[in-house]
Amino acid sequence: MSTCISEPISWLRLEQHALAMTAADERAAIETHLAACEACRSALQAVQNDALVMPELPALERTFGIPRNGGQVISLDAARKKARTRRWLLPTTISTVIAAAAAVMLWVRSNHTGPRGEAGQPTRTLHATSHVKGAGELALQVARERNGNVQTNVATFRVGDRWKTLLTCAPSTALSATLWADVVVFEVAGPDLVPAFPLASSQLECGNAVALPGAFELTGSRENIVCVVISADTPLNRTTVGSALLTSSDAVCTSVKPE
Amino acid sequence: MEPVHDAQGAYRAFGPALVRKAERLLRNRDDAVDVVQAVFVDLLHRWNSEVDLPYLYKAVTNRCLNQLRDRGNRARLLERQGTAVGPQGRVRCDEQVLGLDLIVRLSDRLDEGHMQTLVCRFVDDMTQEETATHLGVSRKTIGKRLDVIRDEVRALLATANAGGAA
Repeated sequence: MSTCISEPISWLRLEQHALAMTAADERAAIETHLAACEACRSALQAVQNDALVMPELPALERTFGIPRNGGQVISLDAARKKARTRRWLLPTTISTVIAAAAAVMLWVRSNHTGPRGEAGQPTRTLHATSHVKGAGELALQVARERNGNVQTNVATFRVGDRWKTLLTCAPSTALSATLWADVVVFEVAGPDLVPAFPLASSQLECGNAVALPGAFELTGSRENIVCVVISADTPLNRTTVGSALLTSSDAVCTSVKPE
Repeated sequence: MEPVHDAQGAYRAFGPALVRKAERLLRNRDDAVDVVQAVFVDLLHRWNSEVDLPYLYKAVTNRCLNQLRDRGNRARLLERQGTAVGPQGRVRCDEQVLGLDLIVRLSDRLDEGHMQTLVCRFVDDMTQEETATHLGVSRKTIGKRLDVIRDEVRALLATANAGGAA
């Protein structure tokens, strides 16, 4: 690339020039420079020739109420730890929900191929959607935040990722009773799954991809199964929870594996 | 250009310019698009008329620097940069075009203000005067920061050369 004849026109000014955002006197000065400077002319051409079309920005309806600083992130390690928290924003369009739910179902189906899974563990059929008494059809999505980027439709984790659970159910169905949602996480370490409860019980609000309050982390080097259990009138009795939950019609579950 | 009144409008109008800006620093377009989307997602609910292209430039710089400081991202970005077009380097630091690997190493040694100055001057090709205005500090401060940056670049290059000679 050739060298600028003096001080280059910055990229910011070139972009503003290309967008016709510069005042008349500045525009004239830039054009005078460009006429004499091949390097800056080439830079402007690179801007003008770049036919980038931006992907659609997600239509955001819901801001997760996680404070930027000082909020508590729940870890599944024995000791809870404080960590940096961020505001999460997620797309909640119906198409996103449908696509994610379909992907989760396909993923579950593709992993249910025989009586024994990896490392001799029993293969489980997980239901990311279920007809839950009192709530009707319920679909679970998990959302992962990694380095500020939030993604749904993911099935792998690293230490440091933050997770939220999103539930979709018809808004009118939850009105007949007070419904409670509890997040239960199983680390698949053997035939007996030990449940962990990273979040407090919360009342279920039905809608499209409604986020349950709070975020949590997944740890360990094994598969984790994330479930949401719905119970009527009172929060879940946590002392009774075991692996039978995975096949309960009151729970929706999905599997997340370490990267 | 039509006035921009909201985040979606600004995203459409300024998004490509911001992606190019992020790409110059991160050296790949996919990550650049992610960064720009994250900036706008963050701004959607607190959009105001003060948000203009220079403001968004600063926001993108900060996001990119956060990416470079994250060690997990760092390795991935350095691995990917092989396929990216190299920096044009209209403004050089001691005749050195600051590539991604050098910027990553500098981010370990320089604070936020110095790194912002580095990006303005050596990535976005701003003049010292423009950098001062953009960052809201004096020209003298920018001059001092650039001296520190040059010293650090020389020190890093000397270390690298010594390692290569050994």
